[in-house]
Amino acid sequence: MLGRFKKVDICLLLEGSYPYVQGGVSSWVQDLILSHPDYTFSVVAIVSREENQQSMYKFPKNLLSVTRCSLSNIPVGRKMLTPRKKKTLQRIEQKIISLLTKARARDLEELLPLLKELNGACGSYMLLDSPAAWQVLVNTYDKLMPQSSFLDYFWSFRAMLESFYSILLTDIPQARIYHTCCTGYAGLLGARANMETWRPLLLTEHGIYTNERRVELLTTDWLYNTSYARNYTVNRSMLELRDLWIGAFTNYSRICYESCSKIVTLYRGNQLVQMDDGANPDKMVIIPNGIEYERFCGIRRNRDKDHPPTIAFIGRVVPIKDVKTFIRTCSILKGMLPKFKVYIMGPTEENIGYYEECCEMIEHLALQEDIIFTENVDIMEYLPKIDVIALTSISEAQPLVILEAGAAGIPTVATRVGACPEIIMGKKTESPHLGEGGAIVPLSNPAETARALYRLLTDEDYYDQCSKAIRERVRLYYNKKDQQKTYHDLYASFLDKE
Amino acid sequence: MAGIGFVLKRMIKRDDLIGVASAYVHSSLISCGPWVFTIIALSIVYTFCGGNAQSEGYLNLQAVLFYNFAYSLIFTAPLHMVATRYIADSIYKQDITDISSSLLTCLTLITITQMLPVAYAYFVFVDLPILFRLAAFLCFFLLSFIWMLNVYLTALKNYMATTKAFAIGMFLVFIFSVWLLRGYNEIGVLIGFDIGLAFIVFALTGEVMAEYNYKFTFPKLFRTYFRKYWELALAGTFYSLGVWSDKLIMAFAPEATLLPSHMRVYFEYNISFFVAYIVMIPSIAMFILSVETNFFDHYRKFYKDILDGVPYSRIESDHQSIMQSIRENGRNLVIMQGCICFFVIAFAHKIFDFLHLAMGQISMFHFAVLGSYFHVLALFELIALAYFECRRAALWIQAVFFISNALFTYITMKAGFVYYGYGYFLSSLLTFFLASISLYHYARRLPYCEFILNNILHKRLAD
Repeated sequence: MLGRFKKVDICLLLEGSYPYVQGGVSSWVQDLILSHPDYTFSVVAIVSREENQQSMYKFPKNLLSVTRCSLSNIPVGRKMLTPRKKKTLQRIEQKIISLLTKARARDLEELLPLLKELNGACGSYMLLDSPAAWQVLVNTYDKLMPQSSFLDYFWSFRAMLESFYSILLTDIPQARIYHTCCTGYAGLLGARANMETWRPLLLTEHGIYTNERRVELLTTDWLYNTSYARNYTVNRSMLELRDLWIGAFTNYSRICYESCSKIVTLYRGNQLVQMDDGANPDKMVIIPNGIEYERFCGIRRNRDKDHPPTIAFIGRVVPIKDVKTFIRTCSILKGMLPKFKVYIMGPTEENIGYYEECCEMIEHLALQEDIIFTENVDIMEYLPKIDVIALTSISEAQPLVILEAGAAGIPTVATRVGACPEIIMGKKTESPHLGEGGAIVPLSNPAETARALYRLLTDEDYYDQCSKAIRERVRLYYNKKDQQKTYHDLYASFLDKE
Repeated sequence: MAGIGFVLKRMIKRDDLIGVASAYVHSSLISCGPWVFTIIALSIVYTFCGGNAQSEGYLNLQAVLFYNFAYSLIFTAPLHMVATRYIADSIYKQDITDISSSLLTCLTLITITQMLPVAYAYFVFVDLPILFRLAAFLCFFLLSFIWMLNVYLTALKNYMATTKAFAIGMFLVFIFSVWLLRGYNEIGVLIGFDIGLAFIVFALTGEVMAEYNYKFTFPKLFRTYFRKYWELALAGTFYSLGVWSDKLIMAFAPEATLLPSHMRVYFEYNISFFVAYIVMIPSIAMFILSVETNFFDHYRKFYKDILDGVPYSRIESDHQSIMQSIRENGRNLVIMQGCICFFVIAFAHKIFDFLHLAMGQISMFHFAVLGSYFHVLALFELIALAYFECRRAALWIQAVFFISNALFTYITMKAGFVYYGYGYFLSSLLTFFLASISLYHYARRLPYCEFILNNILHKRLAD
C-alpha cells in the first residue's frame, strides 16, 4: 500500500489483474495511469486469497494508493446478536435471494443500508457462521435449489456469500470517478461505490466477464473434486450449482451495468453480449485499444533463404488460449510443410498442469524439434524472425499481439473470437476497405487453422497483401494516441462537470 | 473442502478397524469399564473380609486399593482421551506404525511421572510392612497400565481376547488371594491382586504388540496431539477428578478413619457409593446396547446421507430421527434406571442387612443412589456430546462436575453427618441438567453445528 485514502481523481477497481498478475488488462492499466499524468489515481485490487503477493509493475508517480481487497477475508466481528440484528439478517436474506435470481441495482441499494444497520457487529460470524446466517443459507437453498445436494450447495453458497460480503464490507477509497475494468466483483464494488458516494462509475470491459466465467465453469472440473461415492442425482445438482454461479455473475454484471454512467468496450461484438446481459445501449461507447504504431512499423520481414517459415503463438499457456489446438495444428502443418519453426511465447507457470499436458502432447506428436517455449521474452527481439502469428483462443477481447505484429506487417491467423475478425478482416463500415490482414478460422479447428497458415507461408503475393492491409489498419484505427485522447476526454467530461 | 468432508468420511467409515464413532462407544466402555472393574475388585475384598473387615490389616488393604484406583484413574485420564483420539485417527489414516511405540511411550511416561509421588506415598508417608509397601506400589502401576491398555485394546476390537484376559486375571486374583490369605493375611490378598493384574497387563500388552508391528519412533502423539486436543486431555482429567473428589474429600470427615499407617479413608462412605454404583450397571449395559443397535444407525445415516449429496429435506429428516432416537433411548434409560433406584432406595434396609452395613449410613446411601443415577445419565449425555465432536461443551460440563462436586462435598462435610452424600447428589444433578441442556441445544441444531461450528473447528485444527 502506498498511501491511504487520499482523495484522488480516479479510483480504478480491478479484479485478479494489476498489479499482481501480468497480462493484457494489467499492462493496459499501467499504460492508462502513465498516459494521464495530470490526474491522480488509486487502485483497489481484488484478489481471491490473502497472500503475500508482489507487485509486478513499477507504480507510476500519479498512482497514490493501492489497496488490496481479499475475497475470503472478512473480519470475525461481534459474536452476540441482538434480536433486532437477527431481524435485519432476515431482511438481508430476502435481498440475497433476489440478488442471486433477478437482481436490479435497487436490490443492492436497499441491501447496503441494511448492512450499515448491523454496523460494528457485521463480520464473518454474523454473516456466515451464526445460527441466523445458517437459517439464511437453508432458506435460500429451499428457494433456489431444494432438490440438490446440500453439501455441495453449502460449499458453493458459502464461498459465494463470503466473496459477496467481502466486496460489500471492504473500504472504498475516496475518488471523484470510479472506473472498473470488468464487471464481476470489481463491478459490484463499483456499483456500491456509486451508490454510496454518488460519484460516477465508468466501466471498461475488455473481455465479457460473465462469458469468461461461463467458459471457466463449463471447462473446469472444480465442482467434481470430490472423491467419495456419489449417486446419479449429483450430476443434476452440479448443473444446478453451475447455473447458480453463472446466475450470480450475470446478476452482478447487470447491477454494474445499471450503475454505470458509461460502458466502454473494445469492439462492437462485445456490445451485443453486454446488451444481452442487460446493459443500456445509450451508455455504450467503443474505445479500441491502441498500440504505439511507431515502435513497430520499422520492422521488416526476414526473407533470407535459410530462414525457416516461422509461426508464433503469443500468450499465456492456459486452457482458455487453447494451446492444444495450436499444437495439433502444427502437427497437421508438419504433413504439408517440410520445415518450419514455432515459438510459443508466454508464461507457462500459471497453469503448470496444462503446460505439462501440452509438453506431453508435443512429445507424443514428435514436434519437439519444431516447437520452442520461450517463456516471457521481449517481443521486439522476436518480431523480425516471425512470419505469421497464430491465435487459437476460445475467448479473447482485443488481443494486442495482433496489433503489434500487424504494425510490423505480420499477418495473423486467429479464431473467430472477440475483436479478432474486426481487426483482421476490417469492420463492415471501414472505408476504403483495406482488405484481409490474415485469416479467421473456426474455434478448435486444427485442420482449418493449418490450411490458413499454410497459405500465408507459401503464397508470397497473398502474404504481402495481408501484410500491407494489417499494417495500414493498425496505423489508422488502433493508434494508442487516439485511445489515450479518448479516455482523457471521457474523464474530463465527468471531472469538469463539478 | 478438506474440513467437513474429511470428518464426515471418518465418521461413517466404520468398516475399517475402528471409526471415531465406534471409538466413542468403546470409550463409553472405557469410562464405565474401570468403574465396573473397580466395583468388582472392591467387592471381592469386602466379601473376603466380610467377618474381620474391621481388623487393621484389612482396613489398610481397602485403603490402599481405594487410593490406587482413585489416583491411577485420575493420573492416566489425560492420556486416555488423547490416546483414544490418536489411535482412531491413526487407524483411519491407515498409518499404524506409531501405535505400539505410542503405547510404550504412554506406559513409560506414566512410570516416570508417577514413580516419585507414589514412592513417596508408599515408602515415606504411610507406615506399612515392607512387603505391603512393595505390593501396593506395584499395584498402582499395574492398574495404571491396565487403564492405558484398555484404550489400545478397544481399538483392536478383539473383545474376546480382552474379556478372556480380564476373566483369567480376575480368576487368578481370586485363587492367589485365597491361597496367600492363609499365610500372609491382607498382604497375601494384595499380592494375589498383583499377580492377577500382572497377568492382565502382560496378556494385553502381548495382544497389542502382536497386532501392530513394533518399531520405535517418538510418536506424533506427544508432538502434536496434546497441543491440538488439550481440551480432551483436560476433560478426561476433570471427569476422573469429578468422580473421585467427593470420596477423597470425605476422607477428611470427622467420621473417617485415620489408620495407624497414616492413611485416611471413610470406609462407610465409600461402601455406600460402591454399592450405589453396582446399582447402575444395568443402565450402563442398556446404554451401550441402545447406542450400538439404535442410535448409531441413525447417527451413521445422518452423516452418510450428507456425504451422498442428499437434499436438505433428507438431512432434516435424518436429524429428526437422531433426535427421536435420543429422546426414546433417554426416556427408556431414565424410566428403567429410575425404577431400579426407587426399589433400591425402598429396600435399602434389606440390602444393608444383607451386606452387614450399619443402618446409620442409610441416608448417605440414598443420596449415593440418587446421585449416581444422575451421574450415570450425565455420563451418557457426555458420551453423546462426544459423538457429535462437541468437545468444548463437554469440557465445561466436566469442569463444573469436578468443581461442584468438590465444593458441595466440602460444604456438606462441614454441615455434618446428616448431609453426607448430599453434595455429590447436588453436583450430579447440576451436571445432569447442564449436560441435558447442552445435548438438547446441540442436537436440536445438529446440521448447523456439523456444517458450521465443527467445520470451523476442523479448519482451525488443520492449520
